[in-house]
Amino acid sequence: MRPDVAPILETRDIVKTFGGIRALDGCSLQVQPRTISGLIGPNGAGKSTLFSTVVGLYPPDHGEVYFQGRRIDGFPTHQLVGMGMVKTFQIPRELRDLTVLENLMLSARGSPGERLLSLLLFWRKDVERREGEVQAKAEDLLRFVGLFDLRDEYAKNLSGGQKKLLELSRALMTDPDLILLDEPVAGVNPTLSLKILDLIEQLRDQGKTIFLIEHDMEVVMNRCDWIVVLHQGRKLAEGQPTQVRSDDRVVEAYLGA
Amino acid sequence: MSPLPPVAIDFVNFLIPAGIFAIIALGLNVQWGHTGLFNAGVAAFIGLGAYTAAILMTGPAPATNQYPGHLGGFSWPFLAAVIVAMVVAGVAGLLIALPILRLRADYFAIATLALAETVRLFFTNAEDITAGTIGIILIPRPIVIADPGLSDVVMAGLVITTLFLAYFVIQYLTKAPWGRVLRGIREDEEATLALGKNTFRFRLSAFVVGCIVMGLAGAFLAAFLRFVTPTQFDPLSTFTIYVMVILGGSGNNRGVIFGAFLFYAFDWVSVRVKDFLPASLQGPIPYVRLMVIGALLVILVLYRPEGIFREKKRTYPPVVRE
Amino acid sequence: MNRDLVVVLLVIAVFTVAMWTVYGVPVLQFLINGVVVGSIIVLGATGLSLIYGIRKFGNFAHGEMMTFGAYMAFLISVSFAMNIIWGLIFGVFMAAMLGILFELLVFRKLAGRGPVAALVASIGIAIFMNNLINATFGTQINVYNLQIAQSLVLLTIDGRPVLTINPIKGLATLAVSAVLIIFLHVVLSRTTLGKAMRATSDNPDLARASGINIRNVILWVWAISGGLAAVAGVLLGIVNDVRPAMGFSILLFVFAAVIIGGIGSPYGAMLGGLIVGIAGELSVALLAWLGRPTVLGLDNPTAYRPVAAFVIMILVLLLRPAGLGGRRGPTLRTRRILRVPRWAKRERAQ
Repeated sequence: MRPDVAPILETRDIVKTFGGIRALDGCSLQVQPRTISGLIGPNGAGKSTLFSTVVGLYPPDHGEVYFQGRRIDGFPTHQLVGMGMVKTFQIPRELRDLTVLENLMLSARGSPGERLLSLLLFWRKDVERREGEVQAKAEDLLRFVGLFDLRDEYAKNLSGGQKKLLELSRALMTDPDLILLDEPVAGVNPTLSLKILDLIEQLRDQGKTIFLIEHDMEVVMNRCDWIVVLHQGRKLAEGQPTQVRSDDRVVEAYLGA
Repeated sequence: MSPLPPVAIDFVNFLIPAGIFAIIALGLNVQWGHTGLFNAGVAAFIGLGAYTAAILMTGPAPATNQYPGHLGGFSWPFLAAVIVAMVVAGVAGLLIALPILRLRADYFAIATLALAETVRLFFTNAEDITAGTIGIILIPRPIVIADPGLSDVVMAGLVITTLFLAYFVIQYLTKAPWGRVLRGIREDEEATLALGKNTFRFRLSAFVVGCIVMGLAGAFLAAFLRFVTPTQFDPLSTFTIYVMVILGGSGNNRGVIFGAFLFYAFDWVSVRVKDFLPASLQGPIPYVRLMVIGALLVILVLYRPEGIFREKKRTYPPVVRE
Repeated sequence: MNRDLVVVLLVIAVFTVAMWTVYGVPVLQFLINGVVVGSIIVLGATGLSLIYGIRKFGNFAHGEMMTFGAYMAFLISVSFAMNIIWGLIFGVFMAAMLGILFELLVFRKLAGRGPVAALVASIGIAIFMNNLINATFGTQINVYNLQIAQSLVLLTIDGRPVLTINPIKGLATLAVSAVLIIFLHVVLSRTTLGKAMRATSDNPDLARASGINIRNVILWVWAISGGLAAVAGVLLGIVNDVRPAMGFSILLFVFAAVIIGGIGSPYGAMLGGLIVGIAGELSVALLAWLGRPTVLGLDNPTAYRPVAAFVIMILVLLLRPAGLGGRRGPTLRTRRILRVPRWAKRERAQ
């Protein structure tokens, strides 16, 4: 890795306990910017918990989280999205009775139309202009992922794979620098998987950082620039895919789990 | 000035309460229909608006042998009283919501119900302020006109105008991005939070907006009935509004207005039908009407929770590109 | 013992001792009254808690179930001029049947739709039932065909009775409640049905996979809940006369008790019921001690009695921030706020 570049995300000694079980037991890791970094590990290693803790859904019991050099542990999730970090859910949580387009338009940051004062004090020009921008951006994104024709469809009527795409596009609407993807291609058919993975690579080339959890080893090995292995709530190993693949400790962890 | 024909009087006397209920339904629609907040204390906010307006509009009312007296003597004009009523209801909504808004929907309902009953206890017991169980009487009409029929017509005009205004404002707000976030919160609050929205602030503002509207309706109620008592604001009134909202179509502003009118029409008819029934059957009629409310709630929840008018799908015409 | 529970009991104890120093022994009368009222609330709360456990929603019609039981007993007691005990049995039976009817007609169909839908439906049922009772029996106050004996004097000071308890309204109420609580405990902990009930409440899928007939268990729970409500209603009718609003007047206290004690835990509900009863009475003492301030009508110390229970309920709801609204998976199981004492936990599966 490039040690001269500051990590975009860093955790130091994160501990998170749920009812007696230490899901995260002193987890320290770094994610470099403009990479696709993978987070792997046997079941119960604490991967999803790490994501949820980083993104503010649970405050860590102990330890620190840094995003772009700023300490953020304990910050509420919505504030972190405003700072440029967003997470998707493993099982897509589409807003069911809203249309696909509305799902995306809602995700945009900084709409004056969301503030009652702006609405009531007749700053309508601003509100309308921003709505137009948001709609244009949403439509572009939909075209990009191939969901444009479904934009007026209720989100609940999408297929599983389409919901995954929607989940990803919504995250992109927030204009993030760091995207945490929880199993982006789990349960998705191969064609769509490829599309999603190509998309992820495009995003990295555009300057974004992707940190993803995946169980599909092929995906991880082929697409990730860097891999972090979690085991029993702690970082076990990290490195480039080839290094990690041949690391004895990693093999043992997976076999023993 | 010739007296109005009885039909007109009847119609006007239907229009005023129906219109007031429609305003309340709009307020509840913002809280429940759009945001999913189960406010079981609607009656308390209406009551706060009503009592505030009553206290501000009436003349002095000292305690006498027959009457406990109440806080009064301000004799303010209607418009000023309405504005203060709205503020009071809004502030009360803010104070009540702040501690309990984080609760899950059904616990929020129980908490708001408990708080609403506390407010009602206050209405009943703080006699120096509210004249207790007897209530505040002799509330003047907004525009005082000697002829009672004409006074009612003017009142109806005021109510309907206000209903239109409220409808336009709320339509505007709920169509805007603000309303969109509310619906997102209703669908999946955690997902909306994960997308960067401060869901607590949005729910709070939705709640307060609804309470302000209910305070507005309460002021009109006080001016229409010309007296307010604690029993007007019992939980049953709250659930009656819920029937109107669910029946008309929660989430659909036009739908809930229709639901309010439809339901009040049924109410109105059932009261009149009583006079045509033989004496033996007349007794239970008020209860039959309430049984219908209960049964309707169950049937709606079971078989048609979206109501008569479904929430409209919002589509956006394509953006014009250069 | 759970820390929160210890705090609450400490507060009550400190408060009682403080009042004792001001008023002396008569303070115990508040405690006695509180326990008597509390025992009725306990019966209502355990029934409500059972429904929370298996159907995961707050049954707003529970109050009307109590009213229904009371009126069924009234039918037997007055219209048929029989002993109140027969009335009680009849009321229990009818309420149990009614509970089963509710499940079959309404709540089974609402099974997957979340707590709010069921709550709204139960509100509709409550309104329907309340007005059916109004229409059928009229709104006047009725009294059971029952001789209320003179109150027993427990303690006299200088020849004046200071602590009293009524053998019927007080002692019998306590006795009946205690018997039923013990009976419920035995059912829950030692019978097959009881174990099935607990299993279904904890984890319905696992219970079904273990061969338990969920549908029947649920029907049994509704029947037991209805029966408990009916007894509570009859006792309330004895203490406070039979009137159409009786169930609703106590409903919020019953909810408060369940919430304070912990949703889905019948034992917690028992504790919550006692706390609600005692807190209500002690608040009267507090207002009296504060010198009956004449503002806001506080000079009538019983006027704001419900507020004590509401305040405790809301404090309890806030101590454990219930998180965000909406879908949260099996939420009710984690809603325990005051945890059950170890003797009542038994083999509660993790």
